[in-house]
Amino acid sequence: MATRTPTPYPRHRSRKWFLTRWPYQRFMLRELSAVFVAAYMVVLLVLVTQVHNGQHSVRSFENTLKSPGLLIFTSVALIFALLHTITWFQAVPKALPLRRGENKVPPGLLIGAHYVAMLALSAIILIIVLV
Amino acid sequence: MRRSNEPLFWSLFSAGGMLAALLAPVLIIVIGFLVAANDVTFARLHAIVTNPVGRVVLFAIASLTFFHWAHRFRHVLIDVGLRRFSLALAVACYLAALAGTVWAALVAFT
Repeated sequence: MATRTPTPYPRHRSRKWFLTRWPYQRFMLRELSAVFVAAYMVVLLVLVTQVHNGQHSVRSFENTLKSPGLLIFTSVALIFALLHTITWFQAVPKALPLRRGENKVPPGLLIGAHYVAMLALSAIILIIVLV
Repeated sequence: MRRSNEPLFWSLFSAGGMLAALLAPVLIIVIGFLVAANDVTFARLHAIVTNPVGRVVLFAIASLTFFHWAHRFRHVLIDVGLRRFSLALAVACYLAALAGTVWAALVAFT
């Protein structure tokens, strides 16, 4: 009997595997959220630069921010940022399983605490900026 | 055992992910809607970007978010079939994040 050299099992994975099922699509959207959040940090740094440049620079940047293109970009970025927040907090109990004595801290409590922190920080920032 | 630098990049990814999860939505609302609508005075914006704590926070959120992006983007490109270019992708992504960090430092600390 002829011996055959073993070959690796051929994996048949479509190039578009991430479009095929909703869990994969959701995974891709979650990963994509980082692109939008990072892109908005570029907007943040441009704004800070304009503030250092003076009032007129800020005024003209405000008009740029008000343009339809950037308003759409802001809205899309906000949706992706919220998706990032939700998925990140969801993963916290898995990445950081806290224990209190013998007992595991319930995942819901851990996730809830992060939402409370997020809302508190958001409120503080809104107060700093507006009041 | 070969030393891996994955823990370093994972820490940056993780710190950036947490900061972004906590702060990105409110920052996007503030900049994209409130600043755009001229609801925030120039004096207040100037006070924030020249405040020492403000500078550190702006630098940290921008830089760590860039490293968070670099880590995710690199792995997602590998997942869609670019494993052959794994090293080049890692270098390109983290260099981009490093460039963003230098820019953030220049902007935040001037």
